[in-house]
Amino acid sequence: MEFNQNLRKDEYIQLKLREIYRKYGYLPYRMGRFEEYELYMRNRNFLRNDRILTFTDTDGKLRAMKPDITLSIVRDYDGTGLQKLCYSESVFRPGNSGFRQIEQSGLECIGKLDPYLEGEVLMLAVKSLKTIGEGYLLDISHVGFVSALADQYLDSIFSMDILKELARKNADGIRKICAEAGIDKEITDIFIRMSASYGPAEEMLDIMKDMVRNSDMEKALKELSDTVKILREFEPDGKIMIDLSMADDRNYYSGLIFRGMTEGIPEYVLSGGRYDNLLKRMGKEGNAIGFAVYLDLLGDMDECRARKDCDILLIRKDTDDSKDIVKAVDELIAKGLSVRVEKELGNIKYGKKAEIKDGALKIYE
Amino acid sequence: MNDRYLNIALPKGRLGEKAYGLLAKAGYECPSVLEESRKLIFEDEGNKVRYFWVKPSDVAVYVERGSADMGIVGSDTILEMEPSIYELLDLNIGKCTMSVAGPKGFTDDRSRALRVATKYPNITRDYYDGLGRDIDVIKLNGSIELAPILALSDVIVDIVETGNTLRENGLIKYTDIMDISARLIANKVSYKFLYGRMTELMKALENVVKEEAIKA
Repeated sequence: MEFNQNLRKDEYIQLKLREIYRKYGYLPYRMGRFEEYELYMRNRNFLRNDRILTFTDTDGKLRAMKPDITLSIVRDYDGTGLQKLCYSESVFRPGNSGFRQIEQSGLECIGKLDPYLEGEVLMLAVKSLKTIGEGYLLDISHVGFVSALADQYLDSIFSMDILKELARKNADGIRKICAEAGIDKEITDIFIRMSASYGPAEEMLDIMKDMVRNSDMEKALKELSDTVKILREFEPDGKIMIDLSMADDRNYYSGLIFRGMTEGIPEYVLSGGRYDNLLKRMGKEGNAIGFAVYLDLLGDMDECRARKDCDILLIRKDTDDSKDIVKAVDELIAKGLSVRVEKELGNIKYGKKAEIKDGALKIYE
Repeated sequence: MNDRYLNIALPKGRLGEKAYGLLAKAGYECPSVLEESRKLIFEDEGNKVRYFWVKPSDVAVYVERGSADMGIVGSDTILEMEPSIYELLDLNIGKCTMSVAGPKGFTDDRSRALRVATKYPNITRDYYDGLGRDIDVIKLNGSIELAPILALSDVIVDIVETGNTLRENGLIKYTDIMDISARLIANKVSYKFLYGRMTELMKALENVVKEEAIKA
Protein backbone atom coordinates (compact mmCIF):
# COMPACT_ATOMS: atom_id res chain seq x y z
CA MET A 1 0.00 0.00 0.00
CA GLU A 2 1.18 3.49 -0.75
CA PHE A 3 1.41 5.82 2.18
CA ASN A 4 2.87 9.18 2.90
CA GLN A 5 6.59 9.14 3.74
CA ASN A 6 6.08 11.61 6.56
CA LEU A 7 3.57 9.45 8.38
CA ARG A 8 4.09 6.18 10.16
CA LYS A 9 1.72 3.44 9.07
CA ASP A 10 -0.38 3.78 12.22
CA GLU A 11 -0.62 7.58 11.81
CA TYR A 12 -1.66 7.20 8.20
CA ILE A 13 -4.30 4.59 9.08
CA GLN A 14 -5.55 6.80 11.91
CA LEU A 15 -6.18 9.65 9.47
CA LYS A 16 -7.77 7.36 6.89
CA LEU A 17 -10.11 5.81 9.46
CA ARG A 18 -11.28 9.19 10.71
CA GLU A 19 -12.01 10.19 7.11
CA ILE A 20 -14.13 7.03 6.59
CA TYR A 21 -16.06 7.38 9.85
CA ARG A 22 -16.76 11.07 9.17
CA LYS A 23 -18.07 10.22 5.68
CA TYR A 24 -20.73 8.00 7.24
CA GLY A 25 -21.85 10.71 9.63
CA TYR A 26 -19.88 9.78 12.75
CA LEU A 27 -18.92 12.89 14.69
CA PRO A 28 -15.52 13.20 16.31
CA TYR A 29 -15.37 12.82 20.09
CA ARG A 30 -12.39 14.30 21.85
CA MET A 31 -11.38 13.60 25.42
CA GLY A 32 -9.19 16.44 26.52
CA ARG A 33 -9.62 16.00 30.25
CA PHE A 34 -8.91 13.30 32.78
CA GLU A 35 -11.74 11.27 34.27
CA GLU A 36 -12.21 10.83 37.97
CA TYR A 37 -10.91 7.48 39.13
CA GLU A 38 -14.35 6.73 40.53
CA LEU A 39 -15.85 6.28 37.06
CA TYR A 40 -13.60 3.28 36.45
CA MET A 41 -13.94 1.96 39.97
CA ARG A 42 -17.72 1.86 39.71
CA ASN A 43 -17.59 0.06 36.36
CA ARG A 44 -14.68 -2.29 36.90
CA ASN A 45 -16.53 -5.19 35.29
CA PHE A 46 -16.61 -3.30 32.03
CA LEU A 47 -12.86 -2.82 31.82
CA ARG A 48 -10.58 -5.35 30.14
CA ASN A 49 -8.12 -4.97 32.94
CA ASP A 50 -8.91 -3.29 36.22
CA ARG A 51 -5.41 -1.97 36.88
CA ILE A 52 -5.56 1.75 36.29
CA LEU A 53 -2.88 4.41 36.20
CA THR A 54 -3.91 7.14 38.66
CA PHE A 55 -2.58 10.49 39.81
CA THR A 56 -3.64 13.23 42.19
CA ASP A 57 -4.79 16.30 40.27
CA THR A 58 -4.14 19.93 41.30
CA ASP A 59 -7.52 20.02 43.09
CA GLY A 60 -6.53 17.03 45.22
CA LYS A 61 -8.91 14.65 43.44
CA LEU A 62 -7.79 11.22 42.35
CA ARG A 63 -7.90 11.06 38.58
CA ALA A 64 -7.04 8.37 36.06
CA MET A 65 -5.11 8.10 32.81
CA LYS A 66 -7.99 6.67 30.76
CA PRO A 67 -7.82 2.92 30.24
CA ASP A 68 -10.84 3.03 27.94
CA ILE A 69 -12.86 5.49 25.84
CA THR A 70 -16.22 3.72 25.74
CA LEU A 71 -17.00 4.36 29.42
CA SER A 72 -16.61 8.12 28.97
CA ILE A 73 -18.72 8.17 25.82
CA VAL A 74 -21.52 6.19 27.46
CA ARG A 75 -21.34 8.31 30.62
CA ASP A 76 -21.76 11.45 28.46
CA TYR A 77 -24.73 9.99 26.55
CA ASP A 78 -27.83 11.92 27.57
CA GLY A 79 -30.19 9.04 26.90
CA THR A 80 -32.06 10.66 24.02
CA GLY A 81 -31.80 10.08 20.29
CA LEU A 82 -29.09 8.34 18.34
CA GLN A 83 -25.47 9.21 18.93
CA LYS A 84 -22.83 8.30 16.37
CA LEU A 85 -19.33 9.17 17.54
CA CYS A 86 -15.80 8.32 16.45
CA TYR A 87 -12.52 8.88 18.26
CA SER A 88 -8.77 8.57 18.06
CA GLU A 89 -7.22 8.57 21.49
CA SER A 90 -4.44 7.16 23.63
CA VAL A 91 -5.38 4.75 26.39
CA PHE A 92 -3.14 3.60 29.22
CA ARG A 93 -3.08 -0.07 30.12
CA PRO A 94 -0.70 -2.38 31.92
CA GLY A 95 1.60 -4.41 29.66
CA ASN A 96 4.36 -6.93 30.33
CA SER A 97 6.70 -4.25 31.58
CA GLY A 98 4.64 -1.52 33.21
CA PHE A 99 1.88 0.70 31.86
CA ARG A 100 1.86 1.47 28.16
CA GLN A 101 0.33 4.18 26.04
CA ILE A 102 -1.76 2.56 23.32
CA GLU A 103 -3.24 4.38 20.34
CA GLN A 104 -6.82 3.49 19.56
CA SER A 105 -9.30 4.55 16.90
CA GLY A 106 -12.90 3.52 17.01
CA LEU A 107 -16.54 4.41 16.99
CA GLU A 108 -19.67 4.02 19.09
CA CYS A 109 -23.31 4.05 18.06
CA ILE A 110 -25.69 4.55 20.99
CA GLY A 111 -29.49 4.80 21.03
CA LYS A 112 -32.25 2.55 19.75
CA LEU A 113 -30.43 0.06 17.52
CA ASP A 114 -31.73 -2.19 14.75
CA PRO A 115 -30.14 -4.53 12.18
CA TYR A 116 -29.53 -1.65 9.78
CA LEU A 117 -27.41 0.23 12.31
CA GLU A 118 -25.58 -2.94 13.32
CA GLY A 119 -24.93 -3.69 9.65
CA GLU A 120 -23.58 -0.17 9.18
CA VAL A 121 -21.17 -0.55 12.12
CA LEU A 122 -19.97 -3.91 10.76
CA MET A 123 -19.51 -2.35 7.32
CA LEU A 124 -17.31 0.33 8.91
CA ALA A 125 -15.35 -2.43 10.64
CA VAL A 126 -14.81 -4.13 7.25
CA LYS A 127 -13.75 -0.82 5.69
CA SER A 128 -11.33 -0.24 8.59
CA LEU A 129 -9.75 -3.67 8.04
CA LYS A 130 -9.50 -3.10 4.28
CA THR A 131 -7.67 0.16 5.00
CA ILE A 132 -5.12 -1.64 7.15
CA GLY A 133 -4.36 -4.42 4.68
CA GLU A 134 -5.64 -6.54 1.80
CA GLY A 135 -5.51 -9.80 3.74
CA TYR A 136 -8.18 -9.47 6.41
CA LEU A 137 -11.02 -11.41 8.05
CA LEU A 138 -13.94 -10.16 10.12
CA ASP A 139 -15.20 -12.80 12.55
CA ILE A 140 -18.66 -12.27 13.95
CA SER A 141 -20.84 -14.12 16.42
CA HIS A 142 -23.78 -13.60 18.77
CA VAL A 143 -23.08 -14.03 22.47
CA GLY A 144 -26.74 -14.90 23.11
CA PHE A 145 -26.73 -17.85 20.71
CA VAL A 146 -24.06 -19.77 22.58
CA SER A 147 -24.92 -18.72 26.13
CA ALA A 148 -28.62 -19.58 25.64
CA LEU A 149 -27.61 -23.19 25.03
CA ALA A 150 -25.16 -23.19 27.94
CA ASP A 151 -27.75 -21.69 30.31
CA GLN A 152 -30.41 -24.20 29.32
CA TYR A 153 -28.32 -27.23 30.18
CA LEU A 154 -25.71 -26.08 32.69
CA ASP A 155 -25.62 -24.24 36.01
CA SER A 156 -23.75 -20.95 36.11
CA ILE A 157 -20.39 -22.42 37.14
CA PHE A 158 -20.36 -25.11 34.45
CA SER A 159 -21.74 -22.58 31.98
CA MET A 160 -18.80 -20.27 32.64
CA ASP A 161 -16.35 -23.16 32.34
CA ILE A 162 -17.75 -24.33 29.04
CA LEU A 163 -17.65 -20.85 27.49
CA LYS A 164 -14.02 -20.63 28.57
CA GLU A 165 -13.16 -23.95 26.89
CA LEU A 166 -15.18 -22.91 23.85
CA ALA A 167 -13.07 -19.77 23.54
CA ARG A 168 -9.97 -21.99 23.47
CA LYS A 169 -11.56 -24.37 20.93
CA ASN A 170 -10.71 -27.15 23.33
CA ALA A 171 -12.94 -30.06 22.30
CA ASP A 172 -11.43 -32.40 24.90
CA GLY A 173 -12.10 -29.83 27.62
CA ILE A 174 -15.72 -29.41 26.46
CA ARG A 175 -16.26 -33.19 26.49
CA LYS A 176 -14.90 -33.38 30.02
CA ILE A 177 -17.14 -30.62 31.39
CA CYS A 178 -20.22 -32.03 29.64
CA ALA A 179 -19.49 -35.47 31.08
CA GLU A 180 -19.08 -34.00 34.56
CA ALA A 181 -22.34 -32.06 34.22
CA GLY A 182 -24.21 -35.06 32.88
CA ILE A 183 -24.95 -33.57 29.45
CA ASP A 184 -26.00 -36.03 26.75
CA LYS A 185 -24.04 -36.68 23.57
CA GLU A 186 -26.33 -34.68 21.31
CA ILE A 187 -25.83 -31.42 23.20
CA THR A 188 -22.14 -32.12 23.81
CA ASP A 189 -21.72 -32.46 20.04
CA ILE A 190 -23.37 -29.09 19.47
CA PHE A 191 -20.87 -27.43 21.82
CA ILE A 192 -18.02 -29.17 20.03
CA ARG A 193 -19.34 -28.05 16.64
CA MET A 194 -19.64 -24.51 18.00
CA SER A 195 -15.97 -24.61 18.98
CA ALA A 196 -14.63 -26.19 15.79
CA SER A 197 -16.79 -24.76 12.99
CA TYR A 198 -15.53 -21.74 11.14
CA GLY A 199 -16.49 -20.40 7.77
CA PRO A 200 -18.13 -17.73 5.63
CA ALA A 201 -21.11 -16.13 7.42
CA GLU A 202 -23.84 -17.48 5.10
CA GLU A 203 -22.58 -21.08 5.27
CA MET A 204 -22.34 -20.88 9.04
CA LEU A 205 -25.82 -19.39 9.44
CA ASP A 206 -27.11 -22.52 7.69
CA ILE A 207 -25.14 -24.80 10.03
CA MET A 208 -26.41 -22.84 13.04
CA LYS A 209 -30.05 -23.65 12.18
CA ASP A 210 -29.44 -27.24 13.24
CA MET A 211 -28.00 -26.14 16.57
CA VAL A 212 -31.07 -24.24 17.75
CA ARG A 213 -32.60 -25.85 20.88
CA ASN A 214 -34.63 -22.98 22.40
CA SER A 215 -36.35 -19.72 21.59
CA ASP A 216 -33.47 -17.53 22.80
CA MET A 217 -31.14 -19.27 20.34
CA GLU A 218 -33.73 -18.82 17.61
CA LYS A 219 -33.99 -15.11 18.41
CA ALA A 220 -30.19 -14.68 18.44
CA LEU A 221 -29.87 -16.49 15.11
CA LYS A 222 -32.52 -14.25 13.57
CA GLU A 223 -30.76 -11.11 14.82
CA LEU A 224 -27.45 -12.32 13.44
CA SER A 225 -28.95 -13.27 10.04
CA ASP A 226 -30.71 -9.91 9.71
CA THR A 227 -27.50 -8.04 10.47
CA VAL A 228 -25.44 -10.16 8.06
CA LYS A 229 -28.03 -9.47 5.34
CA ILE A 230 -27.63 -5.70 5.73
CA LEU A 231 -23.85 -6.02 5.93
CA ARG A 232 -23.84 -7.98 2.66
CA GLU A 233 -25.72 -5.19 0.93
CA PHE A 234 -22.92 -2.82 1.95
CA GLU A 235 -20.07 -5.27 1.42
CA PRO A 236 -21.00 -8.03 -1.05
CA ASP A 237 -17.41 -9.32 -1.24
CA GLY A 238 -16.42 -8.66 2.38
CA LYS A 239 -14.54 -11.51 4.05
CA ILE A 240 -17.09 -12.04 6.81
CA MET A 241 -16.85 -15.21 8.85
CA ILE A 242 -18.72 -16.65 11.81
CA ASP A 243 -16.83 -18.05 14.76
CA LEU A 244 -19.16 -19.17 17.56
CA SER A 245 -16.28 -19.80 19.95
CA MET A 246 -16.10 -16.05 20.71
CA ALA A 247 -18.44 -16.14 23.67
CA ASP A 248 -16.34 -15.76 26.79
CA ASP A 249 -16.99 -12.06 27.26
CA ARG A 250 -20.67 -12.16 28.16
CA ASN A 251 -20.30 -9.75 31.08
CA TYR A 252 -19.42 -7.05 28.64
CA TYR A 253 -21.06 -8.01 25.37
CA SER A 254 -24.77 -8.65 25.13
CA GLY A 255 -25.41 -9.60 21.51
CA LEU A 256 -23.40 -9.21 18.35
CA ILE A 257 -19.66 -9.58 18.91
CA PHE A 258 -16.90 -9.26 16.31
CA ARG A 259 -13.15 -9.27 15.87
CA GLY A 260 -10.98 -8.28 12.95
CA MET A 261 -7.70 -9.76 11.80
CA THR A 262 -5.03 -8.66 9.37
CA GLU A 263 -2.66 -11.13 7.79
CA GLY A 264 0.80 -10.72 9.32
CA ILE A 265 -0.42 -9.40 12.69
CA PRO A 266 -0.63 -12.21 15.25
CA GLU A 267 -3.36 -10.56 17.40
CA TYR A 268 -6.82 -9.13 16.76
CA VAL A 269 -6.44 -5.61 15.34
CA LEU A 270 -10.10 -4.78 15.77
CA SER A 271 -12.59 -5.77 18.41
CA GLY A 272 -16.16 -4.78 19.17
CA GLY A 273 -19.77 -5.68 19.80
CA ARG A 274 -23.10 -4.85 21.41
CA TYR A 275 -22.73 -3.69 25.00
CA ASP A 276 -26.25 -2.88 26.24
CA ASN A 277 -25.29 -4.06 29.75
CA LEU A 278 -23.06 -1.05 30.30
CA LEU A 279 -25.91 1.36 29.51
CA LYS A 280 -28.16 -0.50 31.91
CA ARG A 281 -25.42 -0.38 34.55
CA MET A 282 -25.28 3.41 34.17
CA GLY A 283 -29.06 3.63 34.40
CA LYS A 284 -29.60 4.63 30.78
CA GLU A 285 -32.18 3.44 28.27
CA GLY A 286 -31.20 2.09 24.88
CA ASN A 287 -28.59 -0.04 23.17
CA ALA A 288 -24.98 0.49 22.21
CA ILE A 289 -22.52 -0.98 19.75
CA GLY A 290 -18.97 -0.02 18.90
CA PHE A 291 -15.49 -1.16 18.07
CA ALA A 292 -11.87 -0.16 18.52
CA VAL A 293 -8.89 -0.55 16.19
CA TYR A 294 -5.59 -1.23 17.96
CA LEU A 295 -3.24 0.97 16.00
CA ASP A 296 -0.18 0.07 18.07
CA LEU A 297 -0.20 -3.43 16.53
CA LEU A 298 0.36 -2.10 13.03
CA GLY A 299 4.07 -1.70 13.75
CA ASP A 300 4.26 -5.51 13.58
CA MET A 301 3.52 -5.50 9.88
CA ASP A 302 6.36 -6.42 7.54
CA GLU A 303 5.90 -3.32 5.42
CA CYS A 304 6.63 -1.19 8.50
CA ARG A 305 9.75 -3.11 9.41
CA ALA A 306 10.99 -2.95 5.82
CA ARG A 307 10.56 0.80 5.62
CA LYS A 308 13.64 2.73 4.54
CA ASP A 309 15.06 5.73 6.35
CA CYS A 310 15.54 7.81 3.18
CA ASP A 311 15.35 7.54 -0.59
CA ILE A 312 18.86 8.86 -1.21
CA LEU A 313 21.86 8.62 1.05
CA LEU A 314 24.28 11.32 -0.04
CA ILE A 315 27.85 10.67 1.12
CA ARG A 316 29.65 13.94 1.75
CA LYS A 317 33.45 14.24 1.49
CA ASP A 318 35.60 16.93 3.13
CA THR A 319 36.87 17.85 -0.31
CA ASP A 320 33.37 18.52 -1.67
CA ASP A 321 32.28 22.09 -2.26
CA SER A 322 29.37 22.74 0.10
CA LYS A 323 27.64 24.70 -2.68
CA ASP A 324 27.47 21.51 -4.78
CA ILE A 325 26.03 19.52 -1.89
CA VAL A 326 23.32 22.08 -1.12
CA LYS A 327 22.40 22.23 -4.82
CA ALA A 328 22.18 18.45 -5.08
CA VAL A 329 20.01 18.21 -1.94
CA ASP A 330 17.66 20.91 -3.20
CA GLU A 331 17.34 19.16 -6.56
CA LEU A 332 16.52 15.80 -5.00
CA ILE A 333 13.96 17.24 -2.61
CA ALA A 334 12.34 19.15 -5.48
CA LYS A 335 11.88 15.75 -7.17
CA GLY A 336 9.92 14.57 -4.15
CA LEU A 337 12.70 12.39 -2.73
CA SER A 338 13.98 12.30 0.83
CA VAL A 339 17.71 12.84 1.29
CA ARG A 340 20.02 12.15 4.17
CA VAL A 341 23.52 13.64 4.07
CA GLU A 342 26.17 11.66 5.94
CA LYS A 343 29.93 11.35 6.00
CA GLU A 344 29.79 7.60 6.42
CA LEU A 345 27.47 4.84 5.30
CA GLY A 346 26.54 3.91 8.87
CA ASN A 347 23.49 1.85 9.61
CA ILE A 348 21.00 3.67 7.44
CA LYS A 349 18.38 1.93 5.30
CA TYR A 350 18.51 3.91 2.06
CA GLY A 351 17.04 3.52 -1.39
CA LYS A 352 20.03 4.64 -3.43
CA LYS A 353 23.51 5.89 -2.60
CA ALA A 354 24.87 9.10 -4.09
CA GLU A 355 27.93 11.34 -3.95
CA ILE A 356 29.30 14.50 -5.51
CA LYS A 357 31.66 13.71 -8.37
CA ASP A 358 33.43 16.46 -10.33
CA GLY A 359 31.04 18.98 -8.84
CA ALA A 360 27.92 17.09 -9.95
CA LEU A 361 25.51 14.72 -8.24
CA LYS A 362 26.10 11.07 -9.08
CA ILE A 363 23.49 8.50 -8.03
CA TYR A 364 24.50 4.84 -7.90
CA GLU A 365 21.95 2.17 -8.82
CA MET B 1 -0.28 -16.37 0.83
CA ASN B 2 -1.93 -19.42 2.38
CA ASP B 3 0.41 -21.88 0.68
CA ARG B 4 3.19 -20.49 2.86
CA TYR B 5 5.12 -22.68 5.29
CA LEU B 6 3.22 -23.86 8.34
CA ASN B 7 5.48 -23.10 11.32
CA ILE B 8 5.35 -25.67 14.11
CA ALA B 9 7.22 -25.27 17.40
CA LEU B 10 8.31 -28.53 19.01
CA PRO B 11 9.48 -28.84 22.62
CA LYS B 12 13.12 -29.93 22.81
CA GLY B 13 13.53 -33.38 24.33
CA ARG B 14 11.75 -36.69 24.49
CA LEU B 15 8.22 -35.28 24.36
CA GLY B 16 9.03 -33.28 21.22
CA GLU B 17 10.51 -36.34 19.51
CA LYS B 18 7.40 -38.38 20.34
CA ALA B 19 5.16 -35.58 19.10
CA TYR B 20 7.14 -35.34 15.88
CA GLY B 21 6.67 -39.12 15.52
CA LEU B 22 2.89 -38.62 15.59
CA LEU B 23 3.06 -35.73 13.13
CA ALA B 24 5.21 -37.82 10.76
CA LYS B 25 2.68 -40.66 10.92
CA ALA B 26 -0.06 -38.15 10.19
CA GLY B 27 1.75 -37.26 6.95
CA TYR B 28 3.74 -34.22 8.06
CA GLU B 29 7.21 -35.68 7.75
CA CYS B 30 10.41 -33.75 7.67
CA PRO B 31 13.15 -36.40 7.99
CA SER B 32 15.94 -33.94 8.76
CA VAL B 33 14.28 -33.05 12.08
CA LEU B 34 15.67 -36.09 13.87
CA GLU B 35 19.22 -35.74 12.51
CA GLU B 36 21.83 -35.05 15.15
CA SER B 37 22.89 -31.47 14.59
CA ARG B 38 22.89 -28.08 16.20
CA LYS B 39 20.39 -26.76 13.70
CA LEU B 40 17.15 -25.49 15.21
CA ILE B 41 15.00 -25.00 12.10
CA PHE B 42 13.98 -27.71 9.63
CA GLU B 43 11.87 -27.36 6.50
CA ASP B 44 10.06 -29.85 4.34
CA GLU B 45 9.45 -28.42 0.88
CA GLY B 46 6.84 -31.04 -0.10
CA ASN B 47 4.64 -30.76 2.99
CA LYS B 48 5.29 -27.03 3.35
CA VAL B 49 5.98 -27.43 7.06
CA ARG B 50 8.77 -25.86 9.06
CA TYR B 51 9.61 -27.35 12.44
CA PHE B 52 11.71 -25.72 15.09
CA TRP B 53 12.94 -26.86 18.47
CA VAL B 54 12.46 -24.55 21.42
CA LYS B 55 12.57 -24.84 25.17
CA PRO B 56 9.35 -26.63 26.26
CA SER B 57 8.18 -23.75 28.44
CA ASP B 58 8.70 -21.32 25.52
CA VAL B 59 6.48 -23.12 22.97
CA ALA B 60 3.35 -21.27 24.07
CA VAL B 61 5.16 -17.92 23.81
CA TYR B 62 6.17 -18.59 20.18
CA VAL B 63 2.60 -19.62 19.33
CA GLU B 64 0.85 -16.80 21.20
CA ARG B 65 3.04 -14.23 19.45
CA GLY B 66 2.56 -15.84 16.06
CA SER B 67 6.19 -16.80 15.33
CA ALA B 68 4.88 -20.36 15.30
CA ASP B 69 1.44 -21.09 13.85
CA MET B 70 1.13 -24.27 15.90
CA GLY B 71 3.01 -25.98 18.67
CA ILE B 72 3.13 -28.96 20.99
CA VAL B 73 3.08 -28.16 24.68
CA GLY B 74 2.30 -29.82 28.00
CA SER B 75 -1.07 -28.89 29.51
CA ASP B 76 0.85 -27.92 32.68
CA THR B 77 2.41 -25.00 30.81
CA ILE B 78 -0.97 -23.94 29.39
CA LEU B 79 -2.58 -23.94 32.85
CA GLU B 80 0.34 -22.13 34.43
CA MET B 81 0.77 -19.41 31.79
CA GLU B 82 -2.80 -19.15 30.46
CA PRO B 83 -1.62 -18.03 27.03
CA SER B 84 -4.19 -16.68 24.59
CA ILE B 85 -4.15 -19.63 22.14
CA TYR B 86 -6.41 -22.37 20.80
CA GLU B 87 -5.97 -25.76 22.42
CA LEU B 88 -6.92 -28.07 19.58
CA LEU B 89 -6.08 -31.63 20.55
CA ASP B 90 -4.98 -33.85 23.41
CA LEU B 91 -2.13 -35.94 22.00
CA ASN B 92 -2.32 -38.51 24.77
CA ILE B 93 1.48 -38.51 25.16
CA GLY B 94 3.71 -37.09 27.87
CA LYS B 95 1.12 -38.22 30.38
CA CYS B 96 1.74 -37.50 34.04
CA THR B 97 -0.01 -35.89 36.99
CA MET B 98 0.35 -32.59 38.80
CA SER B 99 0.63 -33.74 42.39
CA VAL B 100 1.27 -32.69 45.94
CA ALA B 101 4.15 -34.60 47.53
CA GLY B 102 5.93 -34.38 50.84
CA PRO B 103 8.09 -36.28 53.32
CA LYS B 104 6.88 -39.52 54.83
CA GLY B 105 4.60 -38.93 57.82
CA PHE B 106 3.82 -35.36 56.84
CA THR B 107 0.78 -33.84 58.57
CA ASP B 108 -0.59 -30.43 57.68
CA ASP B 109 -0.30 -27.93 60.54
CA ARG B 110 -3.38 -25.75 60.00
CA SER B 111 -2.21 -23.20 62.57
CA ARG B 112 0.17 -21.63 60.02
CA ALA B 113 0.56 -21.11 56.29
CA LEU B 114 1.63 -24.20 54.38
CA ARG B 115 4.95 -23.67 52.64
CA VAL B 116 4.77 -25.07 49.09
CA ALA B 117 7.76 -25.24 46.74
CA THR B 118 6.91 -25.42 43.04
CA LYS B 119 7.73 -24.50 39.48
CA TYR B 120 4.01 -23.77 39.02
CA PRO B 121 2.97 -20.92 41.35
CA ASN B 122 -0.32 -20.16 39.54
CA ILE B 123 -1.58 -23.75 39.46
CA THR B 124 -0.53 -24.12 43.09
CA ARG B 125 -2.31 -20.93 44.19
CA ASP B 126 -5.47 -21.92 42.28
CA TYR B 127 -5.52 -25.36 43.87
CA TYR B 128 -5.06 -24.19 47.45
CA ASP B 129 -7.46 -21.24 46.93
CA GLY B 130 -10.07 -23.83 46.06
CA LEU B 131 -9.36 -25.62 49.34
CA GLY B 132 -9.35 -22.37 51.27
CA ARG B 133 -5.85 -23.18 52.57
CA ASP B 134 -3.46 -20.32 53.28
CA ILE B 135 -0.09 -21.04 51.65
CA ASP B 136 3.34 -19.54 51.18
CA VAL B 137 4.43 -20.26 47.60
CA ILE B 138 8.14 -20.74 47.07
CA LYS B 139 8.90 -20.52 43.37
CA LEU B 140 11.82 -22.72 42.31
CA ASN B 141 13.15 -23.50 38.84
CA GLY B 142 14.36 -27.07 39.32
CA SER B 143 15.25 -29.85 41.80
CA ILE B 144 11.95 -29.20 43.56
CA GLU B 145 12.31 -32.47 45.50
CA LEU B 146 15.16 -30.95 47.44
CA ALA B 147 12.96 -28.30 49.10
CA PRO B 148 11.19 -30.47 51.75
CA ILE B 149 14.40 -32.40 52.44
CA LEU B 150 16.23 -29.19 53.35
CA ALA B 151 13.10 -27.86 55.14
CA LEU B 152 12.78 -25.04 52.62
CA SER B 153 9.14 -26.07 52.26
CA ASP B 154 6.61 -28.45 53.84
CA VAL B 155 5.41 -29.95 50.57
CA ILE B 156 5.95 -29.59 46.83
CA VAL B 157 3.60 -29.31 43.86
CA ASP B 158 5.20 -30.82 40.77
CA ILE B 159 4.61 -33.09 37.81
CA VAL B 160 5.00 -36.77 38.62
CA GLU B 161 5.54 -39.30 35.85
CA THR B 162 6.70 -42.60 37.40
CA GLY B 163 7.24 -41.47 40.96
CA ASN B 164 10.85 -42.73 40.91
CA THR B 165 12.41 -39.36 41.65
CA LEU B 166 10.07 -38.88 44.60
CA ARG B 167 10.82 -42.33 46.02
CA GLU B 168 14.58 -41.93 45.63
CA ASN B 169 14.34 -38.75 47.67
CA GLY B 170 12.14 -40.24 50.36
CA LEU B 171 9.03 -38.32 49.32
CA ILE B 172 5.47 -39.59 49.03
CA LYS B 173 2.74 -38.50 46.64
CA TYR B 174 -0.24 -37.28 48.68
CA THR B 175 -2.80 -35.83 46.26
CA ASP B 176 -3.23 -35.63 42.50
CA ILE B 177 -4.32 -32.16 41.42
CA MET B 178 -4.87 -32.91 37.73
CA ASP B 179 -3.84 -35.07 34.80
CA ILE B 180 -1.31 -33.62 32.41
CA SER B 181 -0.65 -34.49 28.76
CA ALA B 182 0.73 -32.90 25.61
CA ARG B 183 -1.57 -30.66 23.56
CA LEU B 184 -1.59 -29.34 20.02
CA ILE B 185 -2.02 -25.57 20.20
CA ALA B 186 -2.47 -22.86 17.57
CA ASN B 187 -2.16 -19.11 17.24
CA LYS B 188 -5.65 -17.61 17.16
CA VAL B 189 -5.11 -15.47 14.07
CA SER B 190 -3.03 -17.99 12.08
CA TYR B 191 -5.76 -20.54 12.76
CA LYS B 192 -8.25 -18.35 10.92
CA PHE B 193 -6.12 -17.60 7.91
CA LEU B 194 -4.92 -21.22 7.63
CA TYR B 195 -8.15 -22.83 8.83
CA GLY B 196 -8.29 -25.49 6.09
CA ARG B 197 -4.71 -26.67 6.47
CA MET B 198 -4.77 -26.59 10.26
CA THR B 199 -8.05 -28.52 10.48
CA GLU B 200 -6.64 -31.09 8.05
CA LEU B 201 -3.52 -31.49 10.19
CA MET B 202 -5.59 -31.71 13.35
CA LYS B 203 -7.90 -34.38 11.92
CA ALA B 204 -4.97 -36.46 10.62
CA LEU B 205 -3.24 -36.17 13.97
CA GLU B 206 -6.45 -37.07 15.81
CA ASN B 207 -6.67 -40.30 13.78
CA VAL B 208 -3.07 -41.20 14.58
CA VAL B 209 -3.70 -40.54 18.29
CA LYS B 210 -6.74 -42.84 18.18
CA GLU B 211 -4.76 -45.59 16.40
CA GLU B 212 -1.99 -45.34 18.98
CA ALA B 213 -4.55 -45.61 21.79
CA ILE B 214 -5.94 -48.81 20.27
CA LYS B 215 -2.42 -50.25 19.90
CA ALA B 216 -1.69 -49.52 23.55
